[in-house]
This record gives sequence, structure tokens and C-alpha cells, in this order.
Amino acid sequence: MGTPRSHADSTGPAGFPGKFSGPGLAVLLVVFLTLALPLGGILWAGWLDTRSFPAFLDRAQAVLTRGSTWRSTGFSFFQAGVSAALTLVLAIPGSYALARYTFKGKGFIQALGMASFVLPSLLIILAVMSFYGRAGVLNQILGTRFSFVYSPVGIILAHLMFNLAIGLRMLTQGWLDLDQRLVDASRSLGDSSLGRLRRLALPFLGRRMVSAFLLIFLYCFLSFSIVLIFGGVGFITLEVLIYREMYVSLSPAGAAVLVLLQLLVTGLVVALSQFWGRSVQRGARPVEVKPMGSLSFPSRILWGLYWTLVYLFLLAPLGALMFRSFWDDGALGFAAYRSLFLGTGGRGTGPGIFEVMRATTGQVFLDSLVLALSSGTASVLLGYLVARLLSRRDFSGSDTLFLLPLVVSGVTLSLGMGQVLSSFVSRWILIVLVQTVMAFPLVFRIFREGFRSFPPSYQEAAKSLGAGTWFRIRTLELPLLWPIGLQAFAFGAAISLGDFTGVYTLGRGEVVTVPIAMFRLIGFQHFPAALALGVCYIMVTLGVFLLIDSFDRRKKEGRI
Amino acid sequence: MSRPLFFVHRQSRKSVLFLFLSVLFFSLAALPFYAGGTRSAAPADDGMPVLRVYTYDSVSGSVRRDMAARFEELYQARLEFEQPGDTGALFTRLYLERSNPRADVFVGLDQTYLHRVVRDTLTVPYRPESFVPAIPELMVDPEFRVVPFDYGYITLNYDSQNFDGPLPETWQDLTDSRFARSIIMLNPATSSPGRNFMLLTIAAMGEEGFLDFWRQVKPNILTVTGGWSEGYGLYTQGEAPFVVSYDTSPAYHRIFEETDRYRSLPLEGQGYLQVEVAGIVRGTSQVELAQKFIDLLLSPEIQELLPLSQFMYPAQAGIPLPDDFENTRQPITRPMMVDSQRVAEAFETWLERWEEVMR
Repeated sequence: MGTPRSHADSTGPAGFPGKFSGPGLAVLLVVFLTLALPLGGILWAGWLDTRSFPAFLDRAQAVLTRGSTWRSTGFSFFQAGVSAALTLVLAIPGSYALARYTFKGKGFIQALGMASFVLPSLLIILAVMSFYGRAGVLNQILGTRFSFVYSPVGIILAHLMFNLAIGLRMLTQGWLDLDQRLVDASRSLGDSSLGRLRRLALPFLGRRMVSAFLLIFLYCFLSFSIVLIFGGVGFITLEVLIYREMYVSLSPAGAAVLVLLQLLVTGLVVALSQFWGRSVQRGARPVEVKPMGSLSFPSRILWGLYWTLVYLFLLAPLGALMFRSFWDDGALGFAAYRSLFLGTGGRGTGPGIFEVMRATTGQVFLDSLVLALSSGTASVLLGYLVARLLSRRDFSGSDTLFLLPLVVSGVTLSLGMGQVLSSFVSRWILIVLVQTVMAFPLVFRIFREGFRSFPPSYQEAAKSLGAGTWFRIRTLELPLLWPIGLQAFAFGAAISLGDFTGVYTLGRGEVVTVPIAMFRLIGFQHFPAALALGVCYIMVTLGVFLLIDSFDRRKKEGRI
Repeated sequence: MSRPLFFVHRQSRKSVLFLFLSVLFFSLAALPFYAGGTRSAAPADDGMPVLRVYTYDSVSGSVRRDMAARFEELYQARLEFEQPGDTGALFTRLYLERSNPRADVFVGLDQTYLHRVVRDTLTVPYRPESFVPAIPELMVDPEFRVVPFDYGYITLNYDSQNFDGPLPETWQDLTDSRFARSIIMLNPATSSPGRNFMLLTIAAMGEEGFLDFWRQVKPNILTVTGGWSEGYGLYTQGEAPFVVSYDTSPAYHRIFEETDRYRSLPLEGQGYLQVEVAGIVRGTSQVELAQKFIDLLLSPEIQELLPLSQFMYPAQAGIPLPDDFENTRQPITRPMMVDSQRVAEAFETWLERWEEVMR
């Protein structure tokens, strides 16, 4: 740092990145934190396993020549692609409505999407089943015993429920970026609304679509329990194989090889996708927001149908789950909630609820919220700063690079980070670090897109008027990026709230967040209490996201 | 506009980095205060030796507390429990740390891991004087490289309110078409009760015969879940009347929900015996203290806690079971096991063949 460098000096011959300037440093830091550290950890574990290079290679060869490895890779691609595509198809009209119209329940549907995004997969499974399952609400209403959900249909249903929030949020921002002037021009030139969609909206949405598709694709690619339960034995994802190699074959070296394979193939997809959706739109004039009531009757009917469908996807399973938590041996009641909050259960001969969770219910929520706050803040800071440092460079390589941590699954990440850092850093910090890394790809994406639609002329005008960095951040970026920052925080906090693996692996049993408590309750067969906890959790997260949205709206109204 | 990538105004670069690092630092630095304020586990500087115990996650709070209190009282030493995760994660940690161990003793592997514990010499043998096994089958390792502390059985369970008609009694019965799509199985590749259930079918029907059984029972399986939690969750939601679980599962419902609705169903009196073991980590500097820990684990006062806290049977003979255990119990007359060495050799092959049948 010490000696001041001239500009010419810091560019160096051919701008070699070895000269550590801001963006270079940021890229290095992030790559180190999100990729090198966890991967290093996993490879280190693989090394500790075999302790010789030839033995490691032997293991690699054995793993890579198995048919199941490649079959799983193929299936992972297939199910993730279908799930992501369907989620986007469902999200396109919804995001349009969210961007263009005001209507009742608008904030609620967004918050609801977020609340399902944070649910542990176990709860998603139980929720989907309590509605669509064989003994589920749907079958009981119809008086049937359909079990269609035990098929890849179930995988897609559960993934849709889980990921719709990402699709909605990212595409809504895309619609908002579509310049009203262009819409007006196209309309005045007599373009039909379908033509407008094809020629104007889709190309503009392109980048967001690719972004959202990739994110959802990667989340689904890593899916584990959902795929197993609905897909059956034949449908095994690469993630399941990694688990199996690690914990059944007890071969960390084999697991490391599969992690590398997973990283390689998905990295390839991410890199290829960067060729699409490159259109950059800056300084768009915001589109008009109209009340939905102003639409014609048939369009209102269509929208009504659409939202019913979305509610059926999101709300019905959660509603069924809620209902079940109050259902106690043929009657409605609060027994599960009583035992959850008072710590009583049965006749008190076994370990009580708090014994099983190893914390009181209050502590569980406190732990969850404190972690969510810390990880949300840390990921927003990291995401914002890295996006800011890279904002004026079209360095699409970083976009590819920074999506890759998504491919490093929670298991790998926690294991790897734990392997490297657990002796130096306290468990709380380690968990925050891991959750920040987990959230980074999503949060960075949100900021990246935010900076992209940020009019550069403002920055340049401010700079030419002699405004310092701090001043520009305060007067320009903060007000303009505020909604995006909130959105990023919402996702950062959501990922922390929903994280099971990180806390489970690194908390050494003492950090008890809601997913951990739920897992322990179920382990001791306290299903009613676990469901009640799940429902409280949905309520709390719903409240948190409604609050975040209301901040957003208040800010917007104040600004306009 | 087209500046090289790695070049920013020095001033802005510095301030941004400074801002970033300081905020990150402070937000992270604030955390330990929170953590320390609520549940601090840091031992006081009272010079007491500390024994580090690795366990799996599902050891309940009361057992830990009772053991720690008793240990301190008896031996003036502290216990520090640490959970790397589930059983698999516990083994992985022990294995990866084998040349540089951090733990002194572990609690909670099962006999499946025995061959690896032996192969990699992860433990030092210890034969506790006081140990009398409750059933002879518990002696999975005559050389005492691991010491059994509790056991249980994997068997079929059923929901009496979700099923009418005669129950299956033999493996053959279970393949009958009247049980179509009514069993929830657990995946042997990802779930340890699932793996033990597959081993049970191997022990019962042989290394060739078990595949025929699975082929025939396949139409009766509603789903194969990745873990026990999902499978048992669906079962209690009423998705199917039969599930793979522990033979003590009904006792839970009896004790916490006061219902006899759920029952265990050992076909042909068979159940897969799961023996949970503890051991002294090779390389520990506190072998004697670790031996005392094992003694305490096998003492009647800790053993009698296990049925209600772990829902497993005490390994020590002569420990009375709670009434609810005795009442709900369908006796396992034929505890089954596949030799650990054979499992180690053949499990992956069995798994692949099983997957081919089930695909």
C-alpha cells in the first residue's frame, strides 16, 4: 500500500492483474473466499484421504469411469433445466403485473414467495405432500387417492414453489427497466401487444431471463432430497452421488473428484450462457404503474386466473401445512403450539421440547434472526462493493466467475471452509462467512443488474462537478440503489434463514436456528411441534419480508 | 471510457476498500459478544483437564448435561462435546484427523463403520471391567477397539388407523398385491436406517435372494425417500400405512402423544440390529481419562437415560426399561446382522444391483 503509484505505473505492461488495484483486488478476494477456500478445503480432505497423488488419480479414474456418474450428470441437467424453464414461464406474466400494475395483495404475494424460498427442503416436501399427496387436502376434497405427485411432477412442483420468488423478483426488475419511451414509440407505430412482447420486451428481458434462469437452474441442479423423494431411485443427481461418495463409500477423495466435475460442467453452462442476453440498458425512464382495476374485464379475468394458479402453487401447500399444525387427533387445537412455547410434551417422561431442540423457542428465533441480520448485512456490503468496483467495466468474466460459488453446494462449502478455517475463527463468524458466500452470487447479481441500469451520466456529471466518492455514494447511489439494496438484503437474509447445512456442519451443535431445531424435533418424532415451529417460522419470515417491502414502497413514494 | 480493468482512481479505491473492510470487520466483530452473551461454552481457567468428545447431533441435552456434571464430580475434569454432524460426518472428521486428532473420545458410530475404524486404526482398544452385554450379539468387536453403548432394531412400522385387514407376517406376504403402493422405503444410499433395512433383507434372504424380493415388492412401494425424516414425516401425514423405521418408534408416540396408533411390525420376528459404539481416539494424550468416560457411559445411571433420550436400548445388561417401552414392544426374536467385513467388501455392488432393480 505504502508508496504512491502513478497511473501509468498501476496499469503496467498490458494491464497485468498482478497490479492490485481495486477491482482486481475485489475479484481476487471474492474468488478466494467463494471458490478457492471451499474447494481447497475439499481437495485437502481428498488429499488427507489418499495421501498420495497416484492413489488420488486411481480414485478419480474409478469415479469418472462409472456409468452412474454420467447418468446422474445428465439427469441433473435435465431436471434443473425443466424446473428452471417452467418457473420462468410462470414468472413472466406475474412479474409483468408486479411491475406494471398496482393491485391488492401485491406485497403479500412477493413476501409469500420469499417465505417459501427460505423453507428447508424437508418442510417444502411436507407442505407439498399435505396438499397434493395421497392423503393430502386435494385428494380429500376430490375424494380420490391420486398419487401423481410421486413422480418427476413432484420435483417440478416443489422446485417451482421454492424458486418462484427468484423468478418474480428478477424479472420484475427487468420489466421496470423497459423504457416507457420505447413502449410508447412502438405503440404509436401500431405494433400489436404480442408484437411488442416479441420485439421489445423479450429482448429487453433477455439478460434478466438468462440471469434468473441460471440462478434457478443452479439451485435445482444442487437439489437433493426433493429429487430423491419425488423422482425415485432411478433419478439421482450429482449432488446425491457426492454425498454417497463422502458418507457411504467414505471416500473424501472420490467426493472431491465429483465436486470438481460438478463445478466444471456447470461452469461450462454458465460461461456459455454469457453469450446471450448481453443487451445493456441504462437510464431507462420508469414505466407507468396503473391500478389493475383499470383493465378491461376479460384481461382482469385472465389475471385472476393467473393469480389463482400462483396462489395454488404457493399458498395451498403452505395453507395445508398450517392447517395440519392445528389439527390434533380429529379436532382443531393449539396443543402443538403450547408444547412448542411452553416446552411441555406428553406426560413429561421423555426429554421435553427444549431438551430436544437444545434451546428455548425464543432462543431459536433469536439465533435465526441475529444470523440473518449479520449475514444479510455482510452479503449486501460485499455484493455492493464488488459490484461497485466492477460497475464501469464490462468484465463479463466476473459474472461467470461469481455465479460459480452457487455450484459449490452448501455441503461442500461448509465442509471446505470448516476444514480450512475452523481452528482460527469462531463458529458464529464462520457461519456468517459461509452464509455470506452462499448468498453472494445472488446478491452480487442483483447489485450488478442494479448498477447496469444506473445511468452513468449521473456519475460522470457528479464527478465532473468535483463530487468525491463518499458524496456520490451518499447523494446518488444510496437513493437510487436503495430498493435494490433492500432486495439484495432480503435475499441475503433469506438464504441465511433457510440455511441448514452451514449451521449444522459448522455450529458444532450449539447454534440452534429454526431449520436445525425443526430437524431435531423431527428426529425425536415431535412432528406436531416441528410443524408448529415451521408455521411460526413462515409467519416470522413473511412479516420480515412484508416489512422490507413496505420500507421499499415508502421510500419510493417519498422519492417520487 | 475504455479503461483497463485493473485501474481505479487511487483515492476512491482506498476509501471504498477501507469502508468495506471496516464495516465487515465491525459487523463480524460484534458477533462473539452476542454469542458469548447467550450460551458460552468456554471453560473457565480453573486448571481442570478437558476431555473432548465427538458425537453425532442427536444426543439430547439432558444426557450431555448429566454426563458432564457427573464426570466433573467424579474425576474433576470437564467434558467438551462437539458434533460434526450426523454419523457419516462424525466418521469423516475422525478419519481426516487421524494423524492429528483433536478429539479424545467419540460416541455414536455404529457397527457399519467398524471395518474402517479397524483398517485405519482410529482407536486404542479398551475393555471396560464393568461391561456385561445385554444380548450376546452386541459383541461386534471381541478385541474392544470399539465399545457398544446402546442398540436398536430397524424394522417395518405400520399405522393401525390407516390400514385394515390382515397384516403381513412374512417377507413373502409383503409382496402381495393388496399392499400396492403402501410402503415408504428409505434410500440405502443416503439413509442409514435405509441401508440397514436393505442389509436386513440380505440377511434374511441371502445375497442373491434379496433382489428377487425387492423386484416383487417394488409395486407396493409408494416412494423411496432420501432420509428417515422425510419418510417418517410422510408416514405420520398418512401418505402410506407402512414405513421403515426403528422398533422403538411406537414408544415415542406412546410417550409423547399417548397413542397406540403406530406399531412396529418385525416380519418373521426379524429386525436389523444396529449397535452404536464409542471409542478412544488413537493419539489422545488422555487415555486414562477417556477410559473413565467410557466407564461412565456404561454406568447404570447414564445407561438408564438412553431409552427415553435416545430411544435406543441400553447395551449394559440388567437396566430396566420404561413401561412404555415394554408395552409397545413387538419382540424381535431374531436379531439379524451382516458381517461388517462383508458389508465393506460388497455394499457398493449390492447398492448398484439394488438400484438396477428399483430403477
